[in-house]
Amino acid sequence: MNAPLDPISDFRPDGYGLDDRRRERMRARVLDAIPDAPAAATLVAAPAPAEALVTVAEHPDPWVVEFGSGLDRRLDSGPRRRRGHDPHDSHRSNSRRLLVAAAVAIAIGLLAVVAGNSRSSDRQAGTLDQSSPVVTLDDLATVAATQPDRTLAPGETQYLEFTQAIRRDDGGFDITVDHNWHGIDGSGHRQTDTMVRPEGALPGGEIDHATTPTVTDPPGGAWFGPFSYAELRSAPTDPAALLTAATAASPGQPSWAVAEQIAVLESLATTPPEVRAAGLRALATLGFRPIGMVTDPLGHTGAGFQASTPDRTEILAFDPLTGRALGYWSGPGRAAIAPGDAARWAAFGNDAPSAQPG
Amino acid sequence: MLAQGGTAKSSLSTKDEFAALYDHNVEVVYRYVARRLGPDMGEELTAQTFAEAWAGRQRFDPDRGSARAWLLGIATNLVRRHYRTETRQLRAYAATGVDPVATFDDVEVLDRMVAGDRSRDIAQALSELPTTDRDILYLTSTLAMTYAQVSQVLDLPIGTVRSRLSRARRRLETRLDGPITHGTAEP
Repeated sequence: MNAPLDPISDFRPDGYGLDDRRRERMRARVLDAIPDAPAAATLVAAPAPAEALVTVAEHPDPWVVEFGSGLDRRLDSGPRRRRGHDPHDSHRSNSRRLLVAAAVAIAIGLLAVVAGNSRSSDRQAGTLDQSSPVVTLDDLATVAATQPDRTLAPGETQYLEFTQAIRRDDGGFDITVDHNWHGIDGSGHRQTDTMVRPEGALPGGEIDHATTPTVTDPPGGAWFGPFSYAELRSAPTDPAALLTAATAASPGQPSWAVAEQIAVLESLATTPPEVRAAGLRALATLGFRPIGMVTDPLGHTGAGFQASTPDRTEILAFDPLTGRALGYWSGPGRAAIAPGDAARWAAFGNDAPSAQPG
Repeated sequence: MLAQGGTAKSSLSTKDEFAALYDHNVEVVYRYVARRLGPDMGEELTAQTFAEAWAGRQRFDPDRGSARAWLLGIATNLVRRHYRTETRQLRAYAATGVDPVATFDDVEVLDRMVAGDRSRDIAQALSELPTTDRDILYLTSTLAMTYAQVSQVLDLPIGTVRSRLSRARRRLETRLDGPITHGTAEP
């Protein structure tokens, strides 16, 4: 058995270094194209957070954002076809959305009773319609804490999907979709799809599809968020302590990155109810505010929460009936998406062993 | 260890200052791209990286990371557009032992063209990695970047970088039939 020292560093080594001839050729190509006295570069202030929502609508795979309760103004980004999902999914998704919309209306009424006397620290509607009933993170935490605790049975997996879209020079998008199916012990499968969405094409109109071979992870081979699956079972149940632990797992990271890690934690079937509730309250301390109902690329409709910085917009979606995370959207805070800009989103499916590859 | 990434806003305001930024970082950017796609594509994409950097210099925010991390992020996005090409090349390398991206203008490269089983196994393992895992493995290995630096380059949470690197290393270990010691080990 060999134990090579960093085998990748020996793979295609110094022979591919930069020789003088190539260096001069590149330098001339890059710098000769730049005028000698260009206008000084000016750092342009990013739009205010409220404007940043436009980015979501302009994105190639937009989340449908509805302000206020928005139940009567639901939009539809069109049916999507995802690998590993039933071809009747779009029909089911639409039916599910209607069911969820109706359920949310009921839930909002229930929450008004349940949380009527509670202090909702994140109930700051801002630009929202103040008269609209809005599910807050505090409300969701109350619901989440009452959900039954559960673990995955042997052989049962949870599906997580992470997507990244990068703007191309030609106006289209290079899209990469990572599919993950993992069980309680961290074993499971992964696969990645790549595709190109031409400029102007709608979701579902991608070309140049390609799929990597299925990768099998051994037990312990995968963990998501700040903890492994096993560590989740003893994660902090106090919001401040949970936030501290999540931040410690991502040292030096901005709050949006910590929020994404907590969102993944909130999505897992095996997160204890008390931990899930603590995570929801921790997110409120990171500045997430309710924005009404949102629909993710898989067709899940849930309660949306947004936090923005001048250069980033982060949206999280939760099932209002259980408090479980449905997904997140993360993208540039600018209204326009320029070549090279990247936006990412995640959609957390429920346990679907039948959708596994192979 | 990632070298200094250059100064911030002042480096991008004039041609001379941008040229200094170029000279300071071109070697690293080229080495990263060429290791993945070969010297010719390395030259092409390195030039494109700096052209995009100049065109988008208003978007560079020194508070979010070094200029080098910003440049490597642009380069990584460009490399991803050739993900399938890279995968095909790696598979060909694994199957034949001849690196399809090698050029004939370097005797040392020529000597190494017929690779041993280990390089072929590494090529096979790399070809099976999702693009982001492959990005992370190259950045940590060939450039000895830390988790935090990779998170800046790829605009990913550090926890995601850590977990994906762990996955990629396990995949390599499986393919190479033994544990590996990776270039960066700090948390």
